[in-house]
Amino acid sequence: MSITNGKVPVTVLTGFLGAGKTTLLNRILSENHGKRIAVIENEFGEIGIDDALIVQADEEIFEMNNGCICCTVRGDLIRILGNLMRRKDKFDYILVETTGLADPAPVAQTFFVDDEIQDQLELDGIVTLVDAKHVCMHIDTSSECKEQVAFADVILLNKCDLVSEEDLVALEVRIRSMNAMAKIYRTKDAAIEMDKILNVSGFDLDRALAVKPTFLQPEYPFEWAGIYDFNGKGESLLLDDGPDPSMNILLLSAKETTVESINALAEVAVGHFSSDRIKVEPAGKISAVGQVYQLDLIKKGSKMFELAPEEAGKYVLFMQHKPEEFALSIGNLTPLASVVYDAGHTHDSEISSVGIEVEGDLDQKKFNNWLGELLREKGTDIFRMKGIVSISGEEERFVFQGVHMLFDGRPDRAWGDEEHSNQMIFIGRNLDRKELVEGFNSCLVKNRQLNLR
Amino acid sequence: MMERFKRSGSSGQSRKIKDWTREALNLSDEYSILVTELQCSEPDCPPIETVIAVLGPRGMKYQQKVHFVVPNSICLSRRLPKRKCGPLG
Repeated sequence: MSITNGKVPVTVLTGFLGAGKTTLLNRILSENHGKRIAVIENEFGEIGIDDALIVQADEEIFEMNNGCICCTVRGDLIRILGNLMRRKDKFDYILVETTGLADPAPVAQTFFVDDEIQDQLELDGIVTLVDAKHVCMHIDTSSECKEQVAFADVILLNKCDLVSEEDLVALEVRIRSMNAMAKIYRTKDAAIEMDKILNVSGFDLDRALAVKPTFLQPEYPFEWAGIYDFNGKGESLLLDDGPDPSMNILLLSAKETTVESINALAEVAVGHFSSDRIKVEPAGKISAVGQVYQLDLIKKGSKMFELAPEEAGKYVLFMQHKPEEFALSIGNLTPLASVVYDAGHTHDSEISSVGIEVEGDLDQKKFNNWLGELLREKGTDIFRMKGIVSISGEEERFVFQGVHMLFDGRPDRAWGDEEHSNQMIFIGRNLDRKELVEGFNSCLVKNRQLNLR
Repeated sequence: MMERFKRSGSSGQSRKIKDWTREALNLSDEYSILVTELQCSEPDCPPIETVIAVLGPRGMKYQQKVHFVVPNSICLSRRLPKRKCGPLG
């Protein structure tokens, strides 16, 4: 069933000029998925499917300011959606295609500004197509291109057949540093399974966490990974002085000696890096697979560790820092394949994601005040916000999502015996991670004995 | 903020307000009317406000926020014909 909670789901399709939106639209309309889809498009005649329900839009942007909250909305979309809902027996899904230079914010905010629209329609997700071959010409200079990436729940790196593996990985790292929440798929000719772009519940943080548990991580906790072939005897891991008094490393079994096999393990490695680590001093042994070791590098000068996986074979070694930063060597071994994940200083620091995960309950008044002030002061820089929080005294989880200064929330299922925790993600421009985390933490109830239940 | 979201299905009331607005201002179907409740966290604002926005052709736009809604209180601008103006008009 396409309709959830009685609401018609809506997917917004965006992407820069030539990225493949029309190709994707035609695929969606010709696919045998059982959905009757109404399409709101901006250029008539692009879609070559007969008897499709297609409505042309004019992209009229209205800026609204009621003195407290400022937002932009698509006036034409409001009219069209109203008309469509009078014919809602004829379709069960809506696709909105934006122009190539569109800022997704007005489209997204349109679904927050009217109670009737909110009751009848549900913004399921924003799907952004990226032309993997040519995006590098725009991503640094076009604010629309950046915003289309930042707003996405799903990103299709299209035309990936025209781009090298190395460049694709670099692009994925760059995009992930901007938008940690989006699911990224590589596509050719916009070919993708429908269940990856429709009914994705993109505004549902629970669903996002189920699909990608580590997405609240702002960036990879490692900068480099390489595949080595160990013969079952230990190798000397040598490091000189470097930029950090310690470094975390992790060994995982490699299925193949390719960059793809390293990337396939990256998400798994992220999970391991957030687990407990074993501290090891110089002359110590690193042998367990799937265990993060924290190398003690305080001592000045060259330091040696024994790197000895228990069984001979090929392993991916994930390192917190790049090997050259410590003049690192592993016996006479050289990596059979390697990937650099450093997205920190050389890429877009203007747009980023901040994820917060903390246990406990929030003081309702403090949280109200903090979030209200945050959206008032920084709302124009916060593109999207999603959260699942625990409010002191409330038995239910509270879920919410927002676009700039507008947000909507509702009570969710009961906590029951589940540990109360809070998860939030912000995607935006010039976000101050420290300020956001400290502000959020200041809303926590300090003494849980005071909780009224 | 949290109390507001415990109430669901407010579109019935929104529909009434839209109908009142359309009648009060004699608006054709060319005009879209948006009605939503917003919480403003500015210190002097009341806890809940109803915002009525009229979006017209050629970029015309009118907004009014009200703190209680009865048909008499919908009176948006001197540029549109007034019907009945209540205490907020």
